Amino acid sequence: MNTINSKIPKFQSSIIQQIRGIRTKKSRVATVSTGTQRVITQLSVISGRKKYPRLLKLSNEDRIRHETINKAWSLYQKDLRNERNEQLELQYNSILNALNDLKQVDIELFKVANKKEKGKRFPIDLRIPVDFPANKVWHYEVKSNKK
Amino acid sequence: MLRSNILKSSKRLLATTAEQSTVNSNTEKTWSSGSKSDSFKAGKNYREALLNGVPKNGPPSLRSRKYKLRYTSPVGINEAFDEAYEFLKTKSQNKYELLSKETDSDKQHQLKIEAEINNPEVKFNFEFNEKLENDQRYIDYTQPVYRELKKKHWENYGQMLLMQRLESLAVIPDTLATLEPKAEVSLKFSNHTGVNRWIEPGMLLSSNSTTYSPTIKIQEFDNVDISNELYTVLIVNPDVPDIEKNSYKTQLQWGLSNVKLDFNDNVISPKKLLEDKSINEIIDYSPPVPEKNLPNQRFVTWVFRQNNVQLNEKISTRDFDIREFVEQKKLLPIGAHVWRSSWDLNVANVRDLYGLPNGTVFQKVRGKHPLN
Repeated sequence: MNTINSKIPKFQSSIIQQIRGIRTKKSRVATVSTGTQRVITQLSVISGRKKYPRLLKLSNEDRIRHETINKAWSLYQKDLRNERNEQLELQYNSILNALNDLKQVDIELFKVANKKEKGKRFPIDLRIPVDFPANKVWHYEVKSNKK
Repeated sequence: MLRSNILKSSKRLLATTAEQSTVNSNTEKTWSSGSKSDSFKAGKNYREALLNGVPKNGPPSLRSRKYKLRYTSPVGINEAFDEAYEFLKTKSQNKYELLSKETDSDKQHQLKIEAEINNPEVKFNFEFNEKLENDQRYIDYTQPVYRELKKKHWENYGQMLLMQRLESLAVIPDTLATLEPKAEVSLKFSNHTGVNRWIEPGMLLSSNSTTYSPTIKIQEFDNVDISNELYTVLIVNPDVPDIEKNSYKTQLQWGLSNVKLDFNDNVISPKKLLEDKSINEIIDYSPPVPEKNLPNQRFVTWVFRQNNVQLNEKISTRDFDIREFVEQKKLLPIGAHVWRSSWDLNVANVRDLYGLPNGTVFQKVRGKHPLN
């Protein structure tokens, strides 16, 4: 039992250092009065150390590994973003082409399609199409409990 | 309460996963096939830990055994790194494929940078090795990626400091109109009287330390044809008192031309001056001997590209118009450096050593007429 205990805290203490916003020091036996302790607590809460997360203690190798992971993640996100933007651009061009054709074919229909609907709001009971829709779409009879 | 419970279980989890991952990932990792230079590989002590995770006996970068044993890597870093490495490797592979088809020199240069800039070993080499006096095994400036990293590093501090000193000491526009810095110029006086360290721009040096000519290091970053390029170095002093005009004039302290450089071997030292006969000394070195009771004198080092034109001229008089000279010879300024000197008790010794005439002691006198 004693040998196990001597191993575990060493391992735990080094991990706890990397956890943000959690007290890492053990609380000491109170040697000051409660009033003074309150002041100390208040001061420590507004102290500068609490305003930023504690630094990760990484070795040189792990720091470079960490930066590599971050770089790869940001490049991956960038790829996704570019793909999405390309898709949106294609969609926009497609709409534009369709509207141009419509303008050529029938100017009246074009005007109707581009009519500005001022004051029209998005219908709140409109649902997003899903694979498994609910059987009952909107619970119209539900009323608030307030009297 | 809940949080601490999760924490306890995750610690257990960490203990098992960390050991597993070090066992599993012992296979050799290699960057993309186009990456051939040995300088793209981290030092052999660190390579294993960098690519396959920190071993059980702790990271090799920590010295003390106590801290080595105490150290644990963050949870899941090994698995995430393996994924990230594969992802970046394929990106690099694409760049090398583009590079094999590219013919334009500038685009090739850019692709060579992009193919290696995310290599963790390159990053590690650059971060944790000496950058100015580089060891070619780790930082090889013939590789565009290391030049790019050094350029970024220089732009973050060295370049800004230099420009601030050049402007606040009015080196520009007192000598040349302006400078678009393209190369890093470092300077030191590495002889028995000098201070054996690189001089920060604008430093005030004693006349003893500047007795003999400085050692100048010119680090090029651009994609220039370095084997054919020639460089000129001029050291001018724009603060020589001109009593007749009641003003100051510029003198040339030292001038070198037709200097050949390399990306790695780029130091103009006394040894190189003795060995390399192709270097033309426009005028020999004259040490700073400031006059008593005058303000500090600026000694400005300018470095130019000659654009492949030989410059074999010699000058015998010290009085010098740098702007006219630069315009005449069509020199392109790429870098500068400045140090300052003031009169001290050793100036007389330096004058004796070089056989210079006695200096003038300037006094404050009230004149009859106002001076304009």
